[in-house]
Amino acid sequence: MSLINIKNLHKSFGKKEVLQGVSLDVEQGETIAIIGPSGCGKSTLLRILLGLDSADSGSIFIEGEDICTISASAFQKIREKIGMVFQSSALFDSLSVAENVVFGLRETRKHLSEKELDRVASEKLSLVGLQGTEKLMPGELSGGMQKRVSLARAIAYNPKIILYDEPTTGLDPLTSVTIENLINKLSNELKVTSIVVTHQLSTIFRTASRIIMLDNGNFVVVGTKDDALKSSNPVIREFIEAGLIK
Amino acid sequence: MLEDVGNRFTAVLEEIGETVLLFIETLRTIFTSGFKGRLVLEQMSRIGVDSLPVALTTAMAVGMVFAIQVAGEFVKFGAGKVVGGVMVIAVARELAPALTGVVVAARVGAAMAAEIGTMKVTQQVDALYALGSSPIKYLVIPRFIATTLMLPLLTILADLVGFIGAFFVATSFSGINSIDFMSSAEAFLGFDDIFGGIVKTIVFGMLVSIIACYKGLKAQNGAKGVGEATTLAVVHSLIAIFIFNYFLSILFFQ
Repeated sequence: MSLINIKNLHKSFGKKEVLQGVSLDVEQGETIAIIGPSGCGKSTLLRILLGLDSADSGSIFIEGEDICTISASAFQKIREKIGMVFQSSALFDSLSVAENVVFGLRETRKHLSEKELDRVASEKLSLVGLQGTEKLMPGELSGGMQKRVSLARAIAYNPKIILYDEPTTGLDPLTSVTIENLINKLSNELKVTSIVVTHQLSTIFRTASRIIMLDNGNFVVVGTKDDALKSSNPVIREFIEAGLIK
Repeated sequence: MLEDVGNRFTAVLEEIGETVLLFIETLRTIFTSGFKGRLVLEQMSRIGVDSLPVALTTAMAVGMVFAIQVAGEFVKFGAGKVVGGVMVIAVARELAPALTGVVVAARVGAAMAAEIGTMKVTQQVDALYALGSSPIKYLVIPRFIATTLMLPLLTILADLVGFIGAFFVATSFSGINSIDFMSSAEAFLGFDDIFGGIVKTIVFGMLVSIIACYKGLKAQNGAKGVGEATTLAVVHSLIAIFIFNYFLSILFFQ
């Protein structure tokens, strides 16, 4: 059974139907890159997966449970299996780095002591190479460091799935490589399943085991990096060539 | 043209409906899940203590100005002995509650809408959901409770300061006898006057906090959207305060 099973998912904003019955199976341990032009509905799909938006119709099964129909309390348990790295990092700017990392645990696992929370914060920050930054405030960090803290926060629950929304957009090439290496490291070491929404070719080629393109509200399955480079589909060719020129 | 008017009217009704729903959801969450005491205390400090100087300065200034206008005219008509009573009723029933509400709407409502609006456009509100919290519990409830508690306290102090300002001006510059002023104030002022004024400010506190939080949570389109949310939070809070003030005055004092 697939870890994530998306079936015939529809979502419209006004008259614009951004998801026109998309279906996708994601196996455990896979890193899938969903690509496509800006505004095509990639981020919307992540928001639906996380419960931030609801689908108009269709279903999403995560470990066999349809998150489109379950109760809010049942969904909360599913949500703990999912970590999210937001495009803008979305760190709480009034909280320290360590408080950001363990925010979710403090909210939902009230039995954990402050000492345990501190230990988790240090452990997760070490995993993303930011040990010693616990007491800093988000405003004191660079964009790349904020993304890494966001990643540390996403893995605080030890999730089975991590969703990345444009994880390298706006970062310089070296910092992008650092984030891409971290995505691979977490995938290999923690065996998490990753869905990376991006239009950065470097991120797509360095991290994805499978590439899927969202075009006019429908998925076009591309395959591996080599399949993408060899594809004769004009939409895929245009996307890749534009990225290579850039 | 007519369609435009209709659309705007529908949008206003929709917004009022959503604000009422946020209010109901806030009350429901307080009674079912409680609240975070530390966050409420933080907000009480920001809303109450930090608003004290501007609220008291406003109350003092209004008390003094109102005394200049009223005392002079009353003395002309030989009614100088009731100036204290008129002043104290005006301050307790209307001036202190309404003006403290206005001050808090301008200072605190704007800050709330800007802060929550910024969190909304930088996806911090989404992150709250994603991390198993809720904006209502983490953002709205502490501000709602703190404003609802602190506005009446600020108003009690504003009552006192406004009265002192009126007393000082009436007795020093308008030739009102201080004993006459105090005795008429004592004769006119009843518990109902103070109670009615305080209850009004409880309602104003709820209105300001819910409207500001709603505007913040609805903010979109970056810095421009946050600016619009902040402006609308203050404008709508003021309109709501004036409308509710009218009906509450009828309810308590007519």
